[in-house]
Amino acid sequence: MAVTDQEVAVLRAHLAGDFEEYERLWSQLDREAAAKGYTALIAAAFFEAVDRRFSGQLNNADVVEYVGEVRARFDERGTEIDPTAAELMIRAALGDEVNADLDDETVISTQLWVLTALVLDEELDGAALDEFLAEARKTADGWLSNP
Amino acid sequence: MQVTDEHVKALRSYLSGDPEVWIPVHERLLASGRAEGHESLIWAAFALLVRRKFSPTWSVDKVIRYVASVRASLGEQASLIDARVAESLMCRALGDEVNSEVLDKAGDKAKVHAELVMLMALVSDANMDDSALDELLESAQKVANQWQ
Repeated sequence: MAVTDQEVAVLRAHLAGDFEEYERLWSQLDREAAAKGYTALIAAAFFEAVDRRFSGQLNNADVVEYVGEVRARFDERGTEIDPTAAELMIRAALGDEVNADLDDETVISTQLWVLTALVLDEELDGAALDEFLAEARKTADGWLSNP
Repeated sequence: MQVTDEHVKALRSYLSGDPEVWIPVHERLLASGRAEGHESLIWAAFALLVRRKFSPTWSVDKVIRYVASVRASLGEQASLIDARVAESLMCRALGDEVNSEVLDKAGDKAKVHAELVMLMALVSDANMDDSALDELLESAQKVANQWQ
């Protein structure tokens, strides 16, 4: 199993802020395959973006500040993004051994929020976004072929 | 239960950085089942300073950023303060019950702990000298006793 072009296109539309296109592509997505492929792509992109932002270095104060900044920008009432989950997942992506018992919905939703913020911060143009997603896809394909 | 001078003295010792006085009194009061006055004083001092710092023009994003900065200053200890509990307490102090279910679920200990850490940060930000601290605690005692 591998990430499909359609799954990459859905995530690209989301990260590019093209929500009309995102809704259209999302409605056509094979949900059964996406449960593995699309979620692996989101996770791989999250790992890649976290690594770029924090240069692979774990500093808890930076992580806490960043999650606060993301929530302040995108979470109007402070109810959508779970700060504990976001901090733990960033720490885990940076190689910290964290003890987290998070449900799939929280994991995916948190990864998507933080990933979106990280990509926006990078101010990637179309070509850079394609390159970023190609890198994430390669990682996700590696995970899917060696589960 | 009334806020007594003992409660005031205990909280003052905490805010003055005197753990030898503070820790045993705080733990004894919490364990005694008679911590109502003690907790009311902590809440009143916390709420007064939150209002001073954030009223009248406050917003949830400012609260989120402030809590994050305080937690970040704790470094590896940041997880000792639940961000949502601290934010919800600050919003409640500002008259907004946003995310109040977080407070319903949180235990008293977590709430008091968050109030104490945030209170210390607020006092530190306000650069309070001894007389300002006395004034704050006097006002907090009055306010807390009015609630009784």
